[in-house]
Amino acid sequence: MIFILNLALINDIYRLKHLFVSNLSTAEFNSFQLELDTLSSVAKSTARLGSLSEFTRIPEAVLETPLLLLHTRGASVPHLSYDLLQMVSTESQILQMPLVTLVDHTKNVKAFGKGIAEFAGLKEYLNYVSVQDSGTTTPEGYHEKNSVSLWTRGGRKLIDPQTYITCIEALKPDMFQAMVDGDTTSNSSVKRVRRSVDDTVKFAGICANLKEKSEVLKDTPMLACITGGYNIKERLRCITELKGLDVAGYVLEGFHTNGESATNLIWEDLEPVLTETIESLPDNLPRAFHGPVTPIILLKLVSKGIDIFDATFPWLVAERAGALIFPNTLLKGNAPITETLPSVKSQALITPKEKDGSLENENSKDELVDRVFEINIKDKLYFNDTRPLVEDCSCYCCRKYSRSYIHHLSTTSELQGPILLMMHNLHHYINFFRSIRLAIREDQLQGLHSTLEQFVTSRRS
Amino acid sequence: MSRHPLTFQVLAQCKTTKAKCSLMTLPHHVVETPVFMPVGTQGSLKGIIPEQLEQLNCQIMLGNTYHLGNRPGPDLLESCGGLHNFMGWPRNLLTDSGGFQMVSLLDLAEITEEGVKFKSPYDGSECLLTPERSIEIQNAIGADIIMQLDDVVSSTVSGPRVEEAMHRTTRWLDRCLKAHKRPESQNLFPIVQGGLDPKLRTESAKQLMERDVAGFAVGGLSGGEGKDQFWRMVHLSTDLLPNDKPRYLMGVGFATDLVVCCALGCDMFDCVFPTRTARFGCALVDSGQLNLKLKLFGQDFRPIDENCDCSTCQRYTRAYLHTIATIETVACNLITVHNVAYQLRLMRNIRESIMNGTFVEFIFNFMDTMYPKKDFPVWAMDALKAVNVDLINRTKQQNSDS
Repeated sequence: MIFILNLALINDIYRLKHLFVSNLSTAEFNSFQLELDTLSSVAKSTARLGSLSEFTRIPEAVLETPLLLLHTRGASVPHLSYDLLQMVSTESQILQMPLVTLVDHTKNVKAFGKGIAEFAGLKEYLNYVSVQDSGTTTPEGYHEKNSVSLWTRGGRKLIDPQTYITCIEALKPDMFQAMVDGDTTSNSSVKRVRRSVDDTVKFAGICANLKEKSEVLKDTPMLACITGGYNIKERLRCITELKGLDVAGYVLEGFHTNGESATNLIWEDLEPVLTETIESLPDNLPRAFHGPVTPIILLKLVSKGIDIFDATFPWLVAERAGALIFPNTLLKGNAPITETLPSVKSQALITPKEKDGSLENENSKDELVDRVFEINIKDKLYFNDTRPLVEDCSCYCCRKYSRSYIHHLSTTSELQGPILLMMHNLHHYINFFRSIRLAIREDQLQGLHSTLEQFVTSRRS
Repeated sequence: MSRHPLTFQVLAQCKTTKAKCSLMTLPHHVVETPVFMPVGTQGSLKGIIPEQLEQLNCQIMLGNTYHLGNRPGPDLLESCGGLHNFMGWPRNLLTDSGGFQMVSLLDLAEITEEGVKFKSPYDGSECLLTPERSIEIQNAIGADIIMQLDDVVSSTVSGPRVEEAMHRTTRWLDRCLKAHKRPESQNLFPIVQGGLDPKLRTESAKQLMERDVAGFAVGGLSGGEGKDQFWRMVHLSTDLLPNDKPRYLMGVGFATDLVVCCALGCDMFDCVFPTRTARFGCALVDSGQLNLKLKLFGQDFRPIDENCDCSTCQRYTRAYLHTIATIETVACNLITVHNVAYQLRLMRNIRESIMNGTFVEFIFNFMDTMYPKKDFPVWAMDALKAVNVDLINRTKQQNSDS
């Protein structure tokens, strides 16, 4: 299969580099076309535009990157049935389905025989099965030989690569992640990091091997995982040892343990590792970064060359009764802040998990920064606020309801509260990604970044 | 021409039973009766959005004055133009008076002639719900039908308290009528009381009928009383109340109860049962309930009901719902949609059969499906017999309404 570059280059060095890599192979049913951004020769940003297409099950679907995967639990987007999801977006989407939320039922899905998407009433959507739920913190530790721990409702399940592939076969996804040991953070010991690379590489090899032999999976694209924590040497070792495997792309794991831990990434620690890692990855394969990273970090990841993200952040925000309000387009760049917002240092924003005294330590500033992209609709401030969550937002929730009503739903613990917040947050984030892609196309990514930085600054003051 | 913002037109009367099919016009929308009204306690039907209810052709739903009176409170509701606007529901609303919740939720409720005295569950302060205050809150909420504050006594209570409550209910009705500031847009219904005493019920109905109101409710009958007494009081009440005004039987919602009470002449019903049971993973079907949490549904790839046209049954299987019931909130939305669809379809089938003159046949089919072993509840058999429907000896006469 020939890989075709479709781009308008102005950077000769860039063009030359790509001629050398133009004959890389791509997974047969998933072609990733690369459109490089048009930057000057002093290219600060390596953000890319691309697309995922030619999925066997839904050949007409074309998904542009940077791409937002729709996170699910139990194979449904949290709070949103198919009808409600359609009210958020009628476009093609890929659902991210963490195995950990499905593993209790793979036997039944297998008996069903037509794969998890159809089993869950969502066959119109493409789906990608990942290992862990990037929106929920995975407990650290609990490692055993040749296996990974999946923390399900019924307790801890140990999965080895063989069982893992059996589960994937039952689920019949359109794409899946190789089994991975991503249990490392910036605090992990060298030994832990080394072990995570060893296991990840081993798992990847077994998965690739079994995939090849599987009638069900042999043509299904698999993403390999790059682990190695914050240790550059280990990251490069991982990449080296994975060479030769036929993969459709990469997932950069091991920078956090999912859930809230991904909202506290420190860019200064992450950046050098990311730079080195990405430099050693082939350009023509997509790179995914899972987890609820906050919007500014997300933009930085985009400019580093990450192509795929997930919608766990809008979900986490909805779960804590938050509505996203950060500027998600370029146009609002210089709009004055008209919000009567509580100071982000307000006590009212603390969720139960944070009550363990961490307010006083240095992380507290980060915790507070996290909530700067949203309003806490439970706050008394919104009791009689008749404005929509976000002025000019075209989502169902903002077209119809007031902050006052959502506030009422949240304070009375009505199920409709999280439903409406999720509809708004997801809509907001989908539009954010539309803006990101447009910004890359028009060389305005830095502008989008500044808009967000300004927003954060003005909120904090 | 009605003085009230409600018209009630009887379209067809069953010639065997007391059932009738009617069209009720209210300020926000028309309502086909007999009607089942789902309950959206705190200004939302738990887990579903108003558009889904409209799609199911729900024409009227309930809100609870007690809850809404506390949160968000009448002032806020008034300032945003009422509950319809607040929750985005363009069709009809009915609010209860708040009395029932108070008595059932609060142990320390003390009932005096003035009103219901209770301790606020939020800050422990002493509160008093008077007929005037109840109507004031309901005026602010803005429902199309509002209920009087009644002196509600548990149906398991007997003795002089019951008679006291019956008379007080009439006095409170008068206070409610006097306090009602929006009679041109909201219909105030009185509530017939009297416990399980036929004499008291008769007296109550007689007194309430002397007032100029658009419809009547039958209260005090969805508590712990035995079903045998229950149906007799319903039967008596509908005999007393006029046929050309809607009769609202409060708190009734199980399928069998709905069918029987339609036969007994009731036009409006409400119950939390279908929406509450959905949240526990139970889906309503003609043969009863499916507890989708049970393992036996793990590989049942049929929809909840193959003959159901709701959005859930068009797309989702029992097996999938089994994996998420009570675990993911999506399940609540999906099963609630189905259960509401079930209830509304039941009522639609009742109405159609009354219009076609085949209501008796409908009753037979319904009961046979619900009780395949022919173990019909005794109370239902008795109640139906009282309106000329014999479930055991189904003669040709009873099969046709002509």
